[in-house]
Amino acid sequence: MKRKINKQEPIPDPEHLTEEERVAGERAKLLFKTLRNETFSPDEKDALWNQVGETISQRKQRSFNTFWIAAAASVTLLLLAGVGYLVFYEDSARVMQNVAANSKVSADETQLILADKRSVSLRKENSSVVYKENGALIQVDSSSTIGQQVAGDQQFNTLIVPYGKRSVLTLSDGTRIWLNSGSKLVYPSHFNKGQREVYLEGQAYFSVTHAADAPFYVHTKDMEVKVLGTEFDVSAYDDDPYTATVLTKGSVELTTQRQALFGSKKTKITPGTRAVFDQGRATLQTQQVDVREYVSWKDGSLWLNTAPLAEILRKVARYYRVEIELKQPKLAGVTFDGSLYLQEDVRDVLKGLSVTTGLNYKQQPNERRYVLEESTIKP
Amino acid sequence: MTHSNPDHDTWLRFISGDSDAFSDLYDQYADVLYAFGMRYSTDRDLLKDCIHDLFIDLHGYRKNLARDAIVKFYLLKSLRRKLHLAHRKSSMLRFDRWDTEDSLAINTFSFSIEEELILSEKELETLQHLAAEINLLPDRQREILYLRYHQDLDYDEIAAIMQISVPTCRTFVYRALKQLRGKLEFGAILLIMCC
Repeated sequence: MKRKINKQEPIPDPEHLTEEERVAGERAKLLFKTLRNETFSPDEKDALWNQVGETISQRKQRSFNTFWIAAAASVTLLLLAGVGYLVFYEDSARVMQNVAANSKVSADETQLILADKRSVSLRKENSSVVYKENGALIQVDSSSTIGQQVAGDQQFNTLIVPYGKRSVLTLSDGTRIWLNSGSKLVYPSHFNKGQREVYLEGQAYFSVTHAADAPFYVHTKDMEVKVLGTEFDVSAYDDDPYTATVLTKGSVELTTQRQALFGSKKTKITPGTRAVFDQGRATLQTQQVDVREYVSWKDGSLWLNTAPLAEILRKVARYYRVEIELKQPKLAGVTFDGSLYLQEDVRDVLKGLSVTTGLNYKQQPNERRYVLEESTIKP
Repeated sequence: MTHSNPDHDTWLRFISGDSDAFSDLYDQYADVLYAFGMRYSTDRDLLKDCIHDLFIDLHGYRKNLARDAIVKFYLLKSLRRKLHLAHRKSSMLRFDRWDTEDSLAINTFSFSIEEELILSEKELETLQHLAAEINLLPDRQREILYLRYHQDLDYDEIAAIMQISVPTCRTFVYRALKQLRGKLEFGAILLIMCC
């Protein structure tokens, strides 16, 4: 046995070891072969392996998370900045929108509502309002002058035009705005430096005084028009499923879908273009048009360029907020050229139309409803 | 080196990102590491935590691991370091016992001589005596004997594991053997006297 042990491994530093020490080493080696080890039970071993796997996947998850947390944090910051921007930027637009929503359209008189709730009635069919002295003086219908406080916080004035009437507004910066029938315009009593913003419900034609350092914004429910100084028409009637801009001169930038934080879309249009934002489809479409057709109303007439009768009647109905029924649908496609003078009373307009078309018009017992039909007596 | 060695192939596959190799590595070494760790600690959970952490580190740093590492030695060394740190941490938290001794002490050994070896009665007696003497040796000498004779590590490896120089390591072995020889003689004398 001993001999067998002796043959085994070289003993450390053999030259310094005595025979006894060598033997002791051999014996120790033998002893250590018998050392009883603690055993790792297979269950424990498996459990620990599972733990290792779990930790690794968690770490992966964590580093993944760290990335996404960082990403989310930056996105959140951007969002906050965006929201802050929107809140700050849209602030006056929203305030004006609220002002518009809170002011009632009087049935038959054009009204100017001042910031201090004073209400001024404008009796003329085609009234005018001119702001002077940086908004402190308002000249109404070139006859009376109203003073208002323009210092302090930004306050808003509202011009409300009932159906069948129009109004021309000249703001303190020289910008002229023709408000079409059934429209509301909210605007600051005076413009702060570098800030020109108005809110429109209905239709208006804008001739904006150029100011490179103060873009002019027209806010509507679905579209925002930004200009430096041009002429254009905006139609944003509440009861229309669309908002449209027609550009006469210069260039404007349209922003649609503002409410969609990242979906906000900017479009630039050139003169002669009509851009229509469809509410239902949330799309903006542009087409080249004859501008006169869309802006002639400001001069008190409808410009007709091979306009089908149905469309003419629709415009007239819109302008006077009446219903016009064409008895014989086959006539809907008959087209007319020229211009239709927009008189104060829709009946005068219908009379004129009757003469031109050889049709008769009848007012129904419900006085907002008119029927146009072929005359029984042929001319 | 031992590149043809299947264990080393596992190691190389593991480094190159083979997840099966990682599992093989665990299967191969978990028991060895557990048995080794239990020489130093009696706290199974602490040891399992250390083994767990060791494999997590291996997995995490596998791209930076030495391809020519001697796997078993590397793993034992790493585990001992982890145990050492864990112990130091836990002893720092134990205020009832001011342990200025920073080293990780190896537990006493329990040899199963009778079961493992077929020996003459006298030889058995001698070995039993030697076993008792080994357990009386200073911790570090016992640890060296363990690493040398049980784990079959060479002096370079033992020195690296125990964080001592190779000559110191040799000296420790020498002293241990010298002492054992002396004790054996003494024991022999006792035996003679008894007989």
